[in-house]
Amino acid sequence: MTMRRLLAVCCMLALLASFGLGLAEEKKPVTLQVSIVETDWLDAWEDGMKPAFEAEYPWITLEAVSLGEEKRIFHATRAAANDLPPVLQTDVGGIYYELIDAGRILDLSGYEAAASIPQSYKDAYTYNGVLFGLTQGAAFDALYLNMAILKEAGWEAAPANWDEFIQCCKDVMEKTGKAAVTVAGAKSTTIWMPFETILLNVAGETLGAGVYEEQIRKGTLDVSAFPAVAERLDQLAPYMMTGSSQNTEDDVTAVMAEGTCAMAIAGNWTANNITNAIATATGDIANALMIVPPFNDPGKKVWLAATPESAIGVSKVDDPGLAEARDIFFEWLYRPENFKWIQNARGTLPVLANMTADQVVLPDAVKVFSAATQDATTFSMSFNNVTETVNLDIQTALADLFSGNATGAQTVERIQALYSADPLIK
Amino acid sequence: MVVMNNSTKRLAREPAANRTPFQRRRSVTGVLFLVPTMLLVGVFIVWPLIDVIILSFYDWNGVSTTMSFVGLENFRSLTDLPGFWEMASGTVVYAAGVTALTVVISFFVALGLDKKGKGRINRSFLRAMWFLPCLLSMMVVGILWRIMYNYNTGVINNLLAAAGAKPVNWLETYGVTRWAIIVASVWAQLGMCVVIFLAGLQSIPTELYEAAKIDGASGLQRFTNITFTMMAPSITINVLTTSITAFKMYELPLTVSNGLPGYHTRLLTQKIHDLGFKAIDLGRGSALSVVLIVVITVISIVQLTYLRRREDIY
Amino acid sequence: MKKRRFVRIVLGEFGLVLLTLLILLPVYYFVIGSFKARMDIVKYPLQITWPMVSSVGFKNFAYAFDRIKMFSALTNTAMITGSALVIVVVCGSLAGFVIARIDRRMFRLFYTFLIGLMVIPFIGCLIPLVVQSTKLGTYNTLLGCILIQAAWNLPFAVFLFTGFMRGLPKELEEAGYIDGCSMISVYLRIFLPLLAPITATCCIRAGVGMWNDYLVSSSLLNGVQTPTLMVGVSMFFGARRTEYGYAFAGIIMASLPMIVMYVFLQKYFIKGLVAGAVKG
Repeated sequence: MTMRRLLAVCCMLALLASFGLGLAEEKKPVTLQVSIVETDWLDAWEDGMKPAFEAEYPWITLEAVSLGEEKRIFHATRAAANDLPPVLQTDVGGIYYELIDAGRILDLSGYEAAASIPQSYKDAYTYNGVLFGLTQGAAFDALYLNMAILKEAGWEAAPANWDEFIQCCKDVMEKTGKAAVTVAGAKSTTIWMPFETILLNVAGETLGAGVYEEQIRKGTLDVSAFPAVAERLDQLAPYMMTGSSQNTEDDVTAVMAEGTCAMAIAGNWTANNITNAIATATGDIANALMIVPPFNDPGKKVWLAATPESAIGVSKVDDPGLAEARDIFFEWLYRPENFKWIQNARGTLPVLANMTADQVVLPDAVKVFSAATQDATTFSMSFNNVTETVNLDIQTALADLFSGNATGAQTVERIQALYSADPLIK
Repeated sequence: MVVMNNSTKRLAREPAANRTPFQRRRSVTGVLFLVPTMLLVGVFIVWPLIDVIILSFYDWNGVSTTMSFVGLENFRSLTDLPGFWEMASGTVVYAAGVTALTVVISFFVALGLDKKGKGRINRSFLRAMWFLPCLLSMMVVGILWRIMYNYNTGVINNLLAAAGAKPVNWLETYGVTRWAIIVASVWAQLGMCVVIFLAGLQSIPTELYEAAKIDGASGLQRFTNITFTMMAPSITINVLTTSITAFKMYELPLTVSNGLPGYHTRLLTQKIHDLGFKAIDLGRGSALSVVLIVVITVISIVQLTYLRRREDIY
Repeated sequence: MKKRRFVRIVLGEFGLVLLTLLILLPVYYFVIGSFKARMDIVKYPLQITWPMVSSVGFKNFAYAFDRIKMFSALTNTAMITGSALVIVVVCGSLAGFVIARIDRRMFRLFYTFLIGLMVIPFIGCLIPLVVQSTKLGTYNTLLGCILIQAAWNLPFAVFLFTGFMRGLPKELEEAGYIDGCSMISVYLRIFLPLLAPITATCCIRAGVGMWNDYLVSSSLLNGVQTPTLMVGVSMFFGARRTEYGYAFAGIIMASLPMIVMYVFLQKYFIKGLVAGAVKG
């Protein structure tokens, strides 16, 4: 009883205090629209972040507006109405570059938050000298393996290089009758993965870090100079599970959970889903393995594609009160104790340098994978370095390859033509 | 222009000078009646349409305050798009397939649903069932069919397997995928056509059938001479609207097949969307819109002329 | 003879029911899905396994109801659809009346022009429309949405009303004019009561599109203070993950008012049979 009374008094005091503070600061209430929330951290946003922020800054009301697959339409129409959300997700190319040129998406270099993001990720989101987005996480290509099926095919350990990988695919198909490998082909990000990992491991050494990305942006990359790429695509295509080019990430999870496919090439952000799916299929989480795709030649180092994921940026607003709220929120968002909501809801590799170990809760598989990525040489994933139209057309070409409708040579030829026709840097 | 019925045609047109004050007054009132429609349509359709036509001659990124005049370049360069002709022909095949299947199937379904009498199931219940699919948005229908067509986990292949048949790769096979999106679209539009056909069937006076029966006409004769003839206006409406909807369809095929394999099921509307919102090339996007509008208009006019002649014969 | 007829009826009914079930399979799948967890929808599409269903139960519905902000979304969507339908029916029937019943070249030309507008794909006009609505000051208002929805559905409504009114006998209005009625009272007293069936058709046809609209309301209404149903549902379709269970549940709840409207209107247009009205 006394406890309750005490609580009540405390609450009253807190109320009075906040009222007094409100009077003292004379803050005009503002509503801040943010277009950043994704489905995988929608719950964390609604139940955790939004209430926490609004309790801290009572005069600011947060409103999460549409995002999702149609992000670009949404931002394009908002731009046309001169009503961009003050805090919004940004991406490479397309409308975002036009908005930066028009001075409507602002430079983030001055924000404290920018200091905690590694330089390479900031470079990926710099255009014409403007840092236009801070990333939410790091994305890597990964190979997920169902070791129960591999053991059935006579593989006690994961394949260690390209030749072993192909042999492993062959063994799985011949000895178990199950599908060897799948990919979420319905999404451009993921269907690029097998292609780009092959390309990197073939061409990476010759080209070197930095040159590869630069050539792709300029459209000068000559894929046909590396005939091994087409060869390897032809080697891989027959082992791709039927239907892969139309799979969503959920479909990949489903086939892994059914135990009908031995391996999957997918992003690290799906680690939770896919490893749990393998555990469902085999009854033991130990059967789920997540490794850097072993597409290297025997005895050589692995090359890996990595990218910062969709970033968050700010746009120009005229109302000073709103601008202040925008800045307060943006800084608040990237403080480790708040950012961990996003981090942990998604289970991706952390990007904030100032995050402490106890703030990051990673799935076991990702922890092992995270350590392995340190040994690989990483390149920036190319779908971030081409225009959105080229991206879609390359996705189409790769879908034809993996659905058995085109050969490796035809695919390389198509991709080559696309790279050079519409480079990102004009 | 469309449904010119006998009653209207019987009315001989008088030259303007011969119009009575009554007729002139009626015309003025008529114009007044049309004002709200003119205003709405003028402001919200014609105005943006003019903008689109103007844009198709410019290079504009949707953001900058200046745009540069490029003449017909936007139209010329459309053919440079990868897979342009495949997309164009695919759009026509898609629209034709959807229209033919939807109209034919819904006509017979409407006939079945129109019959009443002893021993038959409650019609309003059945009709409601047929209409259910139309209550879903196109995007939702697309997602549903996408999951059902899935090669590995989809319902359709599961059922095929249960029946002992080999699974079909619905979404990755040239030739098959086009029919997959057509079937999904037909499913989504059937109910609407059934409703229009039912309204048409109910407007046929029952006396006509009774008279024909007395004259000794067989069931088939009654069908071709009365039902089919009297349904001509409904057929016109359904053919026209279904084909226009099919040409303008965007979300459904996109969510079902993602335009794959190749450019086989990528429709022009999807390309308009890609150009406008992904490439931020509003000039070319608008040029493609204009091309599509011209194509649909031409096809609709051909359909109308033919269907109207069919209506006139009887 | 009677027996043969009976067999034919039974066979016909059986075929019809079979076809109906086939058509309803996706709907069944959809409804079952709304009671399942996300991955189960993909993995076990058709099964009704009770333990699995009960583990989710109505949770999807409760979650979707909450996230979509169902009450305000429903109010806004109903406001937009309702008002736009009223505008469409009033303007469309007036225009149809004039075009169908006054034989003048200018009205026919206007009709052709309106029909021509039906072919314009909305997606191409989206950006110009947004720019225009900021100029007109209708951006981010329900009114803006209502007017755009009404305008884009109007050509088809005029098409329907004109076709319908051309089918009505000429004697109808002549009697009215002889009695000395003005045009407006001929329209109100003689034609309007006959329009029930075609109005029902028009409402269903246009109403469903407006109710399920995503593009117009997401581009012209700014944000969550004026949520609409489909914009709310679209939240579950992410770039990385699709929350099928929540989305299906949300869509089912969002569609209920439409089902009610359909059932109501269906009865209406069966009662107001065209033939009966013409006879009288």
